[in-house]
Amino acid sequence: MSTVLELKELNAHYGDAHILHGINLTIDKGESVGLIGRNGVGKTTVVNAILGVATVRRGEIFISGKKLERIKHYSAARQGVSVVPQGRMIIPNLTIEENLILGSAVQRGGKWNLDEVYALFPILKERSATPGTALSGGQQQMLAIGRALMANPDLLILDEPSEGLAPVIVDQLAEIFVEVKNSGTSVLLIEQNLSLIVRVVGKFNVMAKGLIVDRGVVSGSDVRELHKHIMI
Amino acid sequence: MITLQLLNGLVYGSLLIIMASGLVLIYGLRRVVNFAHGSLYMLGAYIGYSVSAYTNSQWLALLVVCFLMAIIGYLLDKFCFKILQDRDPIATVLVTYGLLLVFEDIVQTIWGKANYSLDAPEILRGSIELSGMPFPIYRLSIIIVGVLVTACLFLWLNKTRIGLFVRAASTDPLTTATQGVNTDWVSGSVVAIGAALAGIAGVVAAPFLSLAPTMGSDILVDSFVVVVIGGLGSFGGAFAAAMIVGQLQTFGAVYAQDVASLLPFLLMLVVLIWKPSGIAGSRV
Ligand SMILES: Nc1ncnc2c1ncn2[C@@H]1O[C@H](COP(=O)(O)OP(=O)(O)O)[C@@H](O)[C@H]1O
Ligand SMILES: [Mg+2]
Repeated sequence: MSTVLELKELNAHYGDAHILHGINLTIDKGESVGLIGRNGVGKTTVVNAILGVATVRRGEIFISGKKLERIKHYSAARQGVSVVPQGRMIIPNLTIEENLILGSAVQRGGKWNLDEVYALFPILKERSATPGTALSGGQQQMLAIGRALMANPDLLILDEPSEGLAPVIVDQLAEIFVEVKNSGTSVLLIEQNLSLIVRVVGKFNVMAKGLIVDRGVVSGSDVRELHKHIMI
Repeated sequence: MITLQLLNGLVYGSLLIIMASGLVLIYGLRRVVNFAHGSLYMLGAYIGYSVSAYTNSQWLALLVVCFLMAIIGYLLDKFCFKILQDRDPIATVLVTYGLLLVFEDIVQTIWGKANYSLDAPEILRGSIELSGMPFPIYRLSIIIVGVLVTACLFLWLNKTRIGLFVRAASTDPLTTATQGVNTDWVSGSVVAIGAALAGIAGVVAAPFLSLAPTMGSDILVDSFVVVVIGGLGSFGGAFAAAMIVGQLQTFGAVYAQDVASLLPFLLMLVVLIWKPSGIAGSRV
């Protein structure tokens, strides 16, 4: 089985602050994995390490089996790992369509292009010429997802996509994530919303204080069961 | 008379917009206020002078200056602006002001303190009649260059993929980079373009303003006024401001000699009090 992402003994810092203390995580091709944990345990820092925002002092990152050396901010996207960042990070002075085109900067071929993304999110097409930040929170989240898909990634990392969204929007997103997963793209879903985790991923990892402290398989377990894992 | 004055204002405004676009681009991507921009203009003018003295072709001079200044711009970005972008604004001011002094010294060492003048290209000499008065063709062509540069920049920024990346990187460089854009490369190219534009402005201005080691600081001050009035980081604002400052300078020189050089500052003061973010706020 080939892997899309492999983290080995990942230690990451912000300046002198040592945040991640040896994360081990493997995501196979086509697999969807959850990463859960309370605020401040270092979930986003895992993403930031992959993006070269947090400094990796020890440990290794492999994307599709290839080790990331001298990590630049643009490395991950170019090698097939696209991130929907926490807070969505829509570029305010670009239109919706321009935000999507920005996502295709890596020019990786594949299923996703403007038409496909518009088919997935018709509201983005309707409002394609308006500034990205004129959208509601849920629509901005769709835009951030569409932008990430435009890169035709092998792995889509979603950092707390349900944050601040109404439950009915979260339901819509869950369907989208399942659709993306079924199209063969691997998914790393970082969430505190466990009902979303249950609907989307196969395996889950629980983080606490910069370490993965528990792992499990979602199938068969319900939200209450997951809660028990997190209580540990 | 008024028509000619207006045209002269447009001529100077055109030089200012070429200078100001470079400043706006560089500020947009690196958040560096480039005090050395005026010396790039001066360097362009002097190099243009020497190339055309040797080759007898002002066109070749323009080409060589464009190319050389672009290289200098790229190097400036790589070895200076990139490092300065995360530093205290005071550091960027000190370093780029230091660069200005270095460039001025280089120019004085090579060309001395004498004033030179550059001839306009053959086909742009002479004048045409405008409302009964002769107006130099060369000045008209400066206006055309200003319009062309503005139009090209506008199309490049708004209609091309790289232009889109430039606009994205100037608001959120980190998010832009994580989308797979090599923002250092984008910034390098943009500073190269900004420097080349300053060089072009220098060559273009040389037959019209004459070369002197102080020419850099003179235009730099007006260019800054334009950028501040227009709203740091806005092209539309800078364009409007360049035209206003151009007119103010030329009309001031005729009707209010004593205070002419103060007028742009007065305008800047008024605009800053009325609308501190400049005419256009801060949009690219
Ligand atoms: N830029 C930063 N500089 C220093 N510390 C940071 C920075 N960003 C986050 N942290 C700290 O790192 C820890 C982990 O943060 P984060 O990865 O964002 O947590 P999570 O995403 O799990 O909520 C927190 O204690 C937070 O205060
Ligand atoms: Mg987080």
